[in-house]
Amino acid sequence: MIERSATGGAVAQRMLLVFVPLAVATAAILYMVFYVQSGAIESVTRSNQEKAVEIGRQRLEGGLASVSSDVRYLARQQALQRWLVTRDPGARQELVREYLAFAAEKKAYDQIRVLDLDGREMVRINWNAGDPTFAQDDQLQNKVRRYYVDETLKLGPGQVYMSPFDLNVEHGVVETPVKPTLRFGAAIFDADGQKRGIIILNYLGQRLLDRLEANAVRAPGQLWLLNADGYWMLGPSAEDEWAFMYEDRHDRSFAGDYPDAWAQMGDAAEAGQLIADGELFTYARVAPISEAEEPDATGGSGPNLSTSDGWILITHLPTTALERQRSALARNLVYAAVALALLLAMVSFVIARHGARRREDELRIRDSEARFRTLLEAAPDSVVIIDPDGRIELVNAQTERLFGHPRDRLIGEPVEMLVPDRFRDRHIGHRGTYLTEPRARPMGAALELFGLRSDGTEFPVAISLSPVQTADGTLIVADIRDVTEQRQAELRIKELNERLFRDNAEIAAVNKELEAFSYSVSHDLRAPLRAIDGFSQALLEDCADGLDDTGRSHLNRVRQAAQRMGQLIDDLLKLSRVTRSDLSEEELDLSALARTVADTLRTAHPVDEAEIGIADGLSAVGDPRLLRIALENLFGNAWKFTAGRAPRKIEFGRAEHAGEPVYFIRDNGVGFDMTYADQLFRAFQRLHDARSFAGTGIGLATVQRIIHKHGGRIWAEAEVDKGATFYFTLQA
Amino acid sequence: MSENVILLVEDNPDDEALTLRALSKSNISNEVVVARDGAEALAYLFGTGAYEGRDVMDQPQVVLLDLKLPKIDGLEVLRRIRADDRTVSLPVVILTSSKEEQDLIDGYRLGANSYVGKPVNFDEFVEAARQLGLYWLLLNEKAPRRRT
Repeated sequence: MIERSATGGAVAQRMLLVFVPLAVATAAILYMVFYVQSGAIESVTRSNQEKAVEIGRQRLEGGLASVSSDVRYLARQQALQRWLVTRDPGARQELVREYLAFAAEKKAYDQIRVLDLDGREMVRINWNAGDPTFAQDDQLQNKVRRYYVDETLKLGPGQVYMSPFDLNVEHGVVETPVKPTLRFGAAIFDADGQKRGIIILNYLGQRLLDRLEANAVRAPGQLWLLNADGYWMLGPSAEDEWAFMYEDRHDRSFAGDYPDAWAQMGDAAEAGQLIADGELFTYARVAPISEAEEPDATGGSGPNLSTSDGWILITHLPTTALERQRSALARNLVYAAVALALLLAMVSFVIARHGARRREDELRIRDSEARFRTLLEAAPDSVVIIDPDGRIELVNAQTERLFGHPRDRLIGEPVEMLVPDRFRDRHIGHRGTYLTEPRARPMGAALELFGLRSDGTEFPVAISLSPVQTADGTLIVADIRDVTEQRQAELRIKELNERLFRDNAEIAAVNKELEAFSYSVSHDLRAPLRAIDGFSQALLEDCADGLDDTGRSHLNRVRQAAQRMGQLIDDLLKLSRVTRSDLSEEELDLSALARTVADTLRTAHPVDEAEIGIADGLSAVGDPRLLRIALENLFGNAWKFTAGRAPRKIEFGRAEHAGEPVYFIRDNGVGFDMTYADQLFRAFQRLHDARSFAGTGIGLATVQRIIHKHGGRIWAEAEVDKGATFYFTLQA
Repeated sequence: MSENVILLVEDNPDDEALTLRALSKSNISNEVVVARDGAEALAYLFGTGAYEGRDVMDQPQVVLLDLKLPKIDGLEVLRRIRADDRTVSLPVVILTSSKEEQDLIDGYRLGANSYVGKPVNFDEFVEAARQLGLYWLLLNEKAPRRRT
């Protein structure tokens, strides 16, 4: 857990290291983008507005110039002049025809009129909504009182009058639907330069406004056209337009709605931009008839005349629109920034985690390598790692010690430098064979291998090989053990085994001899004794008359000695038989065995009174024949040494002694002095004189051998005159 | 009347004398033929050598056989007795000084009818001889003679 959280911390730290600089750089870039872009937005907006205004101005001026060109042309027309001079009805007719054709062609003029110097209409063509007509004489009016007539009459040759832009008024009432109208006038001069009349063109101003509006659609903001007094001719809505034409709407004007802007524009240049009343205004003054107008072909050199103070073409764009664009940009950039930040965070996380993992892996690899090194160096055997070409790649400290070469003299050398000369060629061959079928080979004692020390001496080795597959091919890890001591030990074991074998043979021979000896004793030693005893008896019987008491006593002693020796021989043979016999092991009932032995004793001594207690259920594993001999001896001893007790008490049972079961035989006999306890079990050793207790001194030795053969122990506890207890264990 | 003959195979003259004395003290009055080695015992039983012409159908009541014998030892004698049809049912009592277990086993395995250790104590020897005589000479019914 601790390790993991540390790793998490490391990842977070690495992530920050990557993320923060990237994020700062990105933020800076985005800010710069914002800064540049918002500047660009403003300048583009401004320039767009300027362009829109400029285009509008050009269109207006172009349109007006074309109209003024028309009126000038018509004023100089020969047919008109001829008619004015001659008043020939035919000429008038022709003129009318021409005007009709002109109107139909131009589609821009509501009326084409020729007036005399008194202001009376002489010819009038009506547009009549696309079907130009000629006005009859009775329809002609006297227009002398109209301002445009007066103004036109004042004109010199080549001069053009343009009326203010307003709505057509018929009979004192603004015609509806409104008909924005511009009146262009020019004076008509005859060949002598005599003014003969004037010509007036009622221009359909809506065409001009439509052209502006068509333009305005494509530009941001709205294109307005103001007259010199600040009234809208093209404005926010139909109600706002032409307000000066209506008594009740005089307050509706640009000048009234945007006083600041109007004031700033008042004395300003021909064109410009200003911010006022929360809006960006872009404007240009329009000269209805430009000064670049062609000079009068007839020689008139006066400037073109305009009755108008000029119009103002203006766009307005609420600064909030700019702000909106700016904040939209900002918003987009913020979105982009957030998206980028997320992306960067992810990228940083991936990079950080990758980095952390790599670092962890490196640490782990370093750790495992360190462990590997430690293990390698700590290995009790020499470890040599060999590349597929048989060159030593790696050795451990034990290799240096074992072979006497320092590490740097071994690395990169052929492994054969560690092999005695006479084995080298074979070793190279073996190495090749091994590589074709590499598999782990344990240390084999079967092969007699030798290593070569730097001082040229050789030593026996045992080698185990294991192949390790790596990217560079199969490496062989050789574990080399110095088996000098092992070999010596093996040699010693072999020697010892041989000696043991010899000794065994000797022992077998000795045993054979012993067997023959005891056989011979059994047969041959008893025969003379039997003769001694038998013939002594014969002497006693056959020559009783020649023997006195002393003689008889002597012969009886001879007999007793012979019988005693017979007994000794029997016991000795029994002892040697116990020693020689093989141990058979079976489950047996010691209680039953003891009872049989006791019964035999009782039968042999029917007169003696004896209390013999034998515990029930004493079972043991052992040799029944040998254990019977042991019990016979022990019970026999107990019986013998309780002679004279009334009653004899003999007890056989089992007790616990230091956690193991111990069998015991206890009697109430004469006991013995524990000082001599260590002599009890020696053959022919007796603690009592032969006169008091008969015996050969072999019985307990036999018992001890039997117990020892069973892997048990025997000992005794006694006190003089207070009985003895013999304990034994059986761990066969 | 060789019907009630006892064949005593014994090389030791002391033992021979003592055995004879023990038998007589036990009031066994049967004729005792003594063979002093295994070869002589076999010659008697099969009517060969010194006993050429003896009627081999007439076999002893019992053979008292010592084991340790010159020329042919007691166990070999016993083996040959049991290998021959004429003597296969002949009562053989091994009478020996040896109390070696192996001798006992071999003796019974080869078909001995009894195994008696010769005691050192002559009184016991007499008792043993008495019981032997009682059983083999008086109580035991011989196997019927085989007609050939």
